[in-house]
Amino acid sequence: MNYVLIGNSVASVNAVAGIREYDREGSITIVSAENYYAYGRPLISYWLEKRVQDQDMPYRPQEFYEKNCVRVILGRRAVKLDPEARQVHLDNGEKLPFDRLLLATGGRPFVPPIAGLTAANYFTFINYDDVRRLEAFAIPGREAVILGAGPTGLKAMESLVQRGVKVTLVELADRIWAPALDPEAGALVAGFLQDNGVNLYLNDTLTSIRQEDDGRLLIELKSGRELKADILVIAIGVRPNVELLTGLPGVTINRGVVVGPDLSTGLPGVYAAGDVVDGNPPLLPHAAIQGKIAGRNMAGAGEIYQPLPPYNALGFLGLHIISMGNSAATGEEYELLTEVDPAALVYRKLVLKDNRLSGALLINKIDRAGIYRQLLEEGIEVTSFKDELLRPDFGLLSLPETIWQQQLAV
Amino acid sequence: MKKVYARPAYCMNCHLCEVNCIVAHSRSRDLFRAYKRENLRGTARVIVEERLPLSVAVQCRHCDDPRCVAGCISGAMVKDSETGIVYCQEDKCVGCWTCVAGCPYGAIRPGEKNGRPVPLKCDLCREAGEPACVAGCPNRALVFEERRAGA
Amino acid sequence: MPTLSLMPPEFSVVRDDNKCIKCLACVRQCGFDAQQYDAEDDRLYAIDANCVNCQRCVSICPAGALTIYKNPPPMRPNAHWTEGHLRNIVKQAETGGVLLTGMGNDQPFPPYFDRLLLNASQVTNPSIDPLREPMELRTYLGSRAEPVSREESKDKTRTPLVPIETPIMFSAMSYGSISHEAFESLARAAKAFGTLFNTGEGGLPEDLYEYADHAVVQVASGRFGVHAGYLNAGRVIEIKIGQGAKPGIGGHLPGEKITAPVAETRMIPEGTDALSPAPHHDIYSIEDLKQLIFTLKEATRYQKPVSVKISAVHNVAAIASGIARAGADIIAIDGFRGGTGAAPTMIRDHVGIPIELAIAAVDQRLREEGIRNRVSLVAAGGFRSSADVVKAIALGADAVYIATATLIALGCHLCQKCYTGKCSWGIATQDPYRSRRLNPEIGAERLYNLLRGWSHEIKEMLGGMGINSIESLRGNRLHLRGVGLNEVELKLLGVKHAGEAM
Ligand SMILES: Cc1cc2nc3c(=O)[nH]c(=O)nc-3n(C[C@H](O)[C@H](O)[C@H](O)COP(=O)(O)OP(=O)(O)OC[C@H]3O[C@@H](n4cnc5c(N)ncnc54)[C@H](O)[C@@H]3O)c2cc1C
Ligand code: SF4
Ligand code: SF4
Repeated sequence: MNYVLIGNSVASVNAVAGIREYDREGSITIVSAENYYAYGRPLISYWLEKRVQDQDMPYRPQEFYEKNCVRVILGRRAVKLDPEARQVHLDNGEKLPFDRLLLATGGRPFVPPIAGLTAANYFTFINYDDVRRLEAFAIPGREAVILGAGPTGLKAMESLVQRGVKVTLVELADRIWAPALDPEAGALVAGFLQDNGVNLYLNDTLTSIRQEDDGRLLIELKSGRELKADILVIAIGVRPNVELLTGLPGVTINRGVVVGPDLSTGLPGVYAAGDVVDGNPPLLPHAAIQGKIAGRNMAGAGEIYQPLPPYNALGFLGLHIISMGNSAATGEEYELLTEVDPAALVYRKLVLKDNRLSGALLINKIDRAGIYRQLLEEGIEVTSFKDELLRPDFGLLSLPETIWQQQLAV
Repeated sequence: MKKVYARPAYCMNCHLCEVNCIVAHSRSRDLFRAYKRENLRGTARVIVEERLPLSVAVQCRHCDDPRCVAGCISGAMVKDSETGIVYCQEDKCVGCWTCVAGCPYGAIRPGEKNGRPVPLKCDLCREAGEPACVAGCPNRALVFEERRAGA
Repeated sequence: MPTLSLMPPEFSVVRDDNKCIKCLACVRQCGFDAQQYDAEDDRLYAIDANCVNCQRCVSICPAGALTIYKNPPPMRPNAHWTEGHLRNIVKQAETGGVLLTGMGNDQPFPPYFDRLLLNASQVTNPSIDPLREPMELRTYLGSRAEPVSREESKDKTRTPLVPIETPIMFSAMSYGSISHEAFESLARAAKAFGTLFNTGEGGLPEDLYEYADHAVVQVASGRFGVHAGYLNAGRVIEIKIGQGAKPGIGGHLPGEKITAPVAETRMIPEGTDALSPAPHHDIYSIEDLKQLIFTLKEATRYQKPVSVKISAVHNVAAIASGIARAGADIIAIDGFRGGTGAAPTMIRDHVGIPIELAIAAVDQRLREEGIRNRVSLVAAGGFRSSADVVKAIALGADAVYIATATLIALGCHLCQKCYTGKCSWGIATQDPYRSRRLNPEIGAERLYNLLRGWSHEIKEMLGGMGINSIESLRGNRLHLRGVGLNEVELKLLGVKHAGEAM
């Protein structure tokens, strides 16, 4: 069996592990547009802060590829998929035959059309190369504007602040990271950022950019405000890299590639996993789990992927946020359990719907968070232990005995 | 694989498993140094939960498909393919705490050692023979045994 | 409570802060709320007045940071007005109640075991090495036929003899007075070692019937938990007349200890006091006793030997004779050191006689009357070591019951607070938070070890005397010598003074 995996990141590497659980023999080839062995993509901000060094970037040690007999083609892009011939064409003309193919191409930053924006005057924040380029510019005392106060923008903000750069965040929504934070939590985090010297402009966006004579950027906002900056980072989301499959028979593309329950794409032998998959939250655990299952299925396992609600841990400048499911929900149809201690920057909110956990948002008190995630994913009725949920000693024993007995017996 | 199983009927809520865990994961492996010099109080990787009279020591179940490993953004958390032990390569950890959000048992707590993040989770004392919590439990409320074939 | 406490605390809890790691194990384990933690100040402290010196905290502390000190007497030393009297008076002045206590008589009455010494062989009669030669500790309990015949007995009213692998059995401690965990420990160890445990007067919990074949099932004045199934399940039936710690007194297990499982086993409503009347209301004479003995034998088709347990009192020999004639197969005599879960202090400390004298007197009397073969004699009350056991057998006992020693093996530190139900060691309590501290698996192992150690020592002592079977020691008082005993005592014990030859 001939496996070809396009993209060399979390989904791909986990697919290798998945394949090898079932098939020790087949040949595996990974094609990577980036010039690196897979690295923890979210590590780029830590690298920029120098909390992580080059040698700690790899997601898996070199032996991983050797032990699993994986051929990795670095710095090559797959440009065409020929379903008839069952071949992938690389940008150097090489053609790789495959029996099973995994599309794990992730996403690329979305960059909106803005007057004056040129490849030379902005940065994206998604690749190792992005931060390597940014490193030279991020010098103490400089000023940066980041467009987008979502997780990527916030991580970029953190690393720049740690390097002594003065940061301004510009966000179109009325609050930080609107899909995950409700207004109250958003305000709490905004206050925290301002206390840490970060400027924040909400309900605003960039309208034009101009390079001044002194080399600095003059940035105009929709509100009319003008900002001067040395660095502009655009971090308003990613678009799935679906081009290889676009237009091929049997494949449906929405925002991403539509997959069946077994993560197959509709083209025989072709699977997809990770950020490129339609409807999948662009989060690392999801990419890893999908990758593993896709790999197993490519090797014949026939496993079903149960779509997982988003869950995410985000930390910056010492603040820690765990969000899951419908974490920003407010509204009548939900029952909200909250614990708020603004002085300690603690915010804990559980969102219940029909007596089941539908979301959770935990700021700075995150112990045992995974238990909430499990309750949420399994859709367990919490009526009988609702008043336990926010107790400081919430834990397995808060759950009905049958559940914790079973869990401890694993 | 051999795992630690709690026998709640005999857990007497002494929390000595936590103490023994802390000492076993200290630099000095000495009770007094661990607590008084290394300041490791509160860093146990086993959590004794209490709903008196019931108490039970909760710790990592070393899952077959560990969520903590799947979610780890740095590749620090791994499952040893030979022993099945799930452990963190602590010098690789960046403290994002995705593992905390992932673990269905809440068996990982965010921790810190010398200014570096440490996911406080059981590693079955992988360098020793028997986990310290089991060896030191005065009432045999913890056992280290194989229960499921292949698990 | 008076606003002014007349008595300083009896004990001081001293914590070495250099060692304490603040793990709080002591706070969680103290059964009497003496150990406290102030979370706000992150400070541990002790309420000395609550400390009963049970030593649980000392044992559990991983840092060895705790010591309990006995405070100096709260008064000028006075040989007559001892501290104990003083504290009792003050307590009663405060409460107006009867003083209660647990465990056995702790007063300094002369211990006869400590004034008796054993013999050993030298030159003229060889000693036996128990590691090389067979040594029999198996003991048969019950009534022996007379005359002895090789033919199988035609007598259908003869109950079978019950073998035990060592002449040591576990004495009666009821479920209710001790925890299920302690009870189960005893049952498991008895079964593993091939001896008997005793249910005491609270019945046998449903889940422990698998051990019934190693149980002496008691029938006491309260008749708790007694039913046909119970009688037939046990190996021996014991009618409890008296108990060494409280001769002439009934029992009172407070309602708090009658938890649902205890209530079910005892067949009484949950939470009600379990009152055992002082006498059996159907026994006012030896004839009445005989009726009960035979009622029980009838109920069990003569398959179960019947034991009658009495406390050692002044007239014990005559009473024992009556019991033997009433048809008992075993007489169990409990000396004045016998333990208890709860007894009035004055009764415990001032009523009854030493077991050593009782054994000698009963054995002597039954021999003189020619009925010694009709019964086995089991002695109880304060056996502390295998040497005590050997001496008791040499004085005339067939076997002994041990109780306090078993509890000590399980962790008991003799704080004597059994009656409070707060036992820190999980023994004398029904509180599930406390009782779970005693894992019966571990408890049974410890008891088994105790039996093993004692039995081995008994073999060594027998071997030294040149005897290869415990049977040959029974009543063999020539192997005993007294030291520092007066003429009367020597005569009552039937032993010569050390230095006197055979
Ligand atoms: C700065 C940042 C921080 C993040 N932080 C977190 C976080 O804290 N927690 C979290 O859960 N998630 C986080 N994420 C998201 C997480 O990194 C992604 O969900 C995850 O990396 C997705 O993995 P993937 O394998 O699907 O795709 P990607 O990691 O996007 O990898 C796709 C790879 O395929 C390559 N590729 C694309 N097209 C081709 C082609 N045609 N030929 C060859 N190669 C190709 C790309 O170059 C890329 O290397 C973060 C993302 C970023 C950018
Ligand atoms: S050491 Fe044993 S008994 Fe004590 S808390 Fe831990 S598991 Fe329970
Ligand atoms: S830490 Fe949690 S998720 Fe990870 S292996 Fe252990 S139990 Fe499973």
